[in-house]
Amino acid sequence: MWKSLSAATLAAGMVLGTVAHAEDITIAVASEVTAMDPHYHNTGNNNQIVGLIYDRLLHQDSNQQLGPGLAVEWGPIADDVWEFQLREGVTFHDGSAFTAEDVVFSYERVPNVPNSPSSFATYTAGIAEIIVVDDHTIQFRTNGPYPLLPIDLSTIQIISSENPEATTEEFNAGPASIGTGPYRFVSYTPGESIVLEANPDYWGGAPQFDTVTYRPISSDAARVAALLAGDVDVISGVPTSDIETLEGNEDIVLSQGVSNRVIYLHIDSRRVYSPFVTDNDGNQIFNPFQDVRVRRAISMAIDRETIVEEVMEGIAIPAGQVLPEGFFGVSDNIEVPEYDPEGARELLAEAGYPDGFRLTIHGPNDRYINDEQIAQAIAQMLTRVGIQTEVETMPRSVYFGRATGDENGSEFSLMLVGWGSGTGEASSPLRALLHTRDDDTGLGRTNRGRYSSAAFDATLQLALNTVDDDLRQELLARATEIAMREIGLIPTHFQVNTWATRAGLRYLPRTDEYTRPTNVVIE
Amino acid sequence: MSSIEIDPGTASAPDQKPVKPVPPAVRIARDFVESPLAVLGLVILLCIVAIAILATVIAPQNPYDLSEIRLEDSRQPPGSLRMTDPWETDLILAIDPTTEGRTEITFLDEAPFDGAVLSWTPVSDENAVVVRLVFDPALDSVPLEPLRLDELPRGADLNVGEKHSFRSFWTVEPADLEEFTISSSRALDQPFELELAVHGTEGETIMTYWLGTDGQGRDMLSAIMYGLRTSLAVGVVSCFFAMVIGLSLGMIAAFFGGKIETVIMRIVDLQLSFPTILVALMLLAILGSGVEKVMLALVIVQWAYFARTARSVALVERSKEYVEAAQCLALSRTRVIFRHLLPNCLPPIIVVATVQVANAIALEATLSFLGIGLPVTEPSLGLLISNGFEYMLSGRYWISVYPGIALLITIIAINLVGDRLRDILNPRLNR
Repeated sequence: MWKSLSAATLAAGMVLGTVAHAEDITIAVASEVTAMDPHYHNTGNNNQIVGLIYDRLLHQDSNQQLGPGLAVEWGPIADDVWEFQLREGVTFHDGSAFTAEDVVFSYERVPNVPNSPSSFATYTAGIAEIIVVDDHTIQFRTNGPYPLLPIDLSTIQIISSENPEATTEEFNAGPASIGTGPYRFVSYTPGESIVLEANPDYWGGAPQFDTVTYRPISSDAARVAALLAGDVDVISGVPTSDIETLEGNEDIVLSQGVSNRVIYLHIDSRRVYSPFVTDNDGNQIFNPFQDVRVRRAISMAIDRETIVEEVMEGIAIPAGQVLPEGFFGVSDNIEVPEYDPEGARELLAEAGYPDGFRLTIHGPNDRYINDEQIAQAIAQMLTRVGIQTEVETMPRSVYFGRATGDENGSEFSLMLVGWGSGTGEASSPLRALLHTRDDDTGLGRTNRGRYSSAAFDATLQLALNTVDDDLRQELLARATEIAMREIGLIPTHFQVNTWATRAGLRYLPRTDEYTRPTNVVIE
Repeated sequence: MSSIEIDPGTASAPDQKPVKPVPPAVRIARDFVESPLAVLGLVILLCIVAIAILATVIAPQNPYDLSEIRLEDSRQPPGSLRMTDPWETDLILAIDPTTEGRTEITFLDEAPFDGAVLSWTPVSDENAVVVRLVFDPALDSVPLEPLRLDELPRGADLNVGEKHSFRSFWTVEPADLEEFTISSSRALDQPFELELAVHGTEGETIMTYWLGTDGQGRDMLSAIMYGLRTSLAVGVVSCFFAMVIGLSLGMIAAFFGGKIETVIMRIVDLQLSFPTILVALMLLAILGSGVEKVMLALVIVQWAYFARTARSVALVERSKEYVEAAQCLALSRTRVIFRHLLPNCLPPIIVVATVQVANAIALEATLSFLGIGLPVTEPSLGLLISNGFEYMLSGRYWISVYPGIALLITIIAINLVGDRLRDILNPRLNR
């Protein structure tokens, strides 16, 4: 009896298994990848897809908690030495075996990818030396204590060392796109699709879909329409204005999750003159943002609750710091700044601008949820406290280059940007956005406002070298408090992402905003 | 058609015929009113022009003034009211869960309450506290937004209301506050402060949004009026300059012929072989955005139409006897071109101009729809349509449809008038 029952269960399982394995899935995403080279551009759009073809030493789960990947065990063996035990019996898609050499090759390639718009080198900069102990044991000697090493390494894809000269073009064309991940590269047609197929020999078990097709559909309305028409199975970035309608549709399943992405304003706070600030008659004036009171006035003039309720239609969380509650390194002492237009006007007067000034706020119009409307809403709020604000938005292909600018700083004065913490804890935004810009260490590489505070830098540096988790968390929170008190940047809200799937599927939200077939559940 | 060929400079010569010649303008007007459709078009067009000119006076709101529009009123359907801010008050409820307690709350702001009493009792042996909050007058006698209760201690739960799916606050019913229990998975041994947001719904009516509002809270009616103003101004001004340039070059080409003609007309051919929208897009990508730049781009893409028409008409006119006569009188070239040739070339040009104004308006709308051209804070009709487009699936049709109708009516009205003018001024169609 028991035997037959278990046989029946087994048979049922097999039937279910075959059903599940016979599925193909088409996913529509808002933005296209910039390359299939996993080390070319550190951006969520690329990482979500290349992360299926490749593995990392450690994997981040849907909540960005670390788990084993190509490494099965890891830990520090001295203050500045970490040892990783690699998974045995793993093969690349071309059949070659995965060894420590591939790890070394991958990390050595990262800083040397030509023309990389946003390098992963920040995450390898702390490694002083890589020591191969044997084929499946590897040690990293770091410059001083480096508790973030496992997290940092979880962002870097491991590629095969068989093809040492592989160029970004070869990854895009296919021959070099050889990983160990659950899906294999089939084709990449820019503007059209990326097709992946299941890797039946995957060490984590064969994946549930046979073929995965990613289609970039940048227009929100068109993406929703494609799902409604049945052309695609899953879409990311469901526009907030359509959520209510879709909730009433029985053929559609929505899922929602808080992301690690803060939407914030970077303020040009160092230069003597800022390009888009003038007095009310259009004459150049000294940069008012050097004065912390003016920066604070701007923060007070922004009604975050109204942005969330009206522009985001309730699908966002007002922000007072760089990561939402519950993430590692978040401060409990920071409240969302109160909306206080009167106070803002008084502060402006106190700082010497009783009649305000003129300003242009810049933002992208195809990157974040409702980005253009947010920029307009902020302009509306600043105008109400006397800062005559104009809005200029542009496609992200133009925007980010200009926002980052060159060594002299950004081309803009006040800019709307977002940052998703790739490491799932506070040091990622603090290191990239607020630390004094330092090209040697890679710190402050995305500090577009050039905020610089010795106290902040020291606290953050201390945190980065603190191995004890509780103490590090505390120090990160302190550093955040310093930067927020000095208005190093102005957070407005945390994004909440919405995915929609056709009935029969459900998406398990990820805090890193990635849209991956591995998070799709067949119901 | 002979009367149209009368040159104003020579027509004053006394004629032997006793019939007084009808001035061309009067004759055109007479012919025009024969078509009721064209008259309707003209009336509508005049109304639109009047609205556009008077927009600053008659529009209920200045939609380009960011301090006048209200984000809180965004995406309101047609007919909604704009109200003054309702009263709001955020109560801090300080509770010490270790002992029983009672506090009286007094209201200093405009909230319509005389007072409230907060009291609480810890539940023995459990991590819970029963809280009672009684308002005077009763909370449910006042129209309220949903009540929000925030800042609960970590791990705490309420036995009433509903927690927001991803934010920290709870939404509770007014009646729930009379007695509710806060229970926690952790020990409740520290005093804590709850935050209760009580917001009224009623303010005083300021204005009605007859056509609803857009995503920024802009009154659609005002935005359409201002949008018409921009669209018409861009259309008329760019067309005028395109006409001046095109007409001059076309006539010069026709009059001088030879190399000059070849050069000018090849440039025209080159220009006309490109799709206008493509050229305009490229120009704006180089020039940047702004009303003047859109106008400049439109002039550049439109002058060729005028030049070609002007040249063909001028070629015909040039071979006519009156030009020869004028030349025989040894009049200067400029005089022949501008006093004799030009007036006789005008009728077809006027027809082209009306059509091109409509085209320019449509092209400007297209450019704005594509997101280049005018600034987002000063939307023209095209930009309004484009902004509303993303709300179509969610049923907020008014943001896109009404500006679309306004654009449609404008272009149809101009075309009706233009068609009739063509009928009247085209000698071949003359009965």
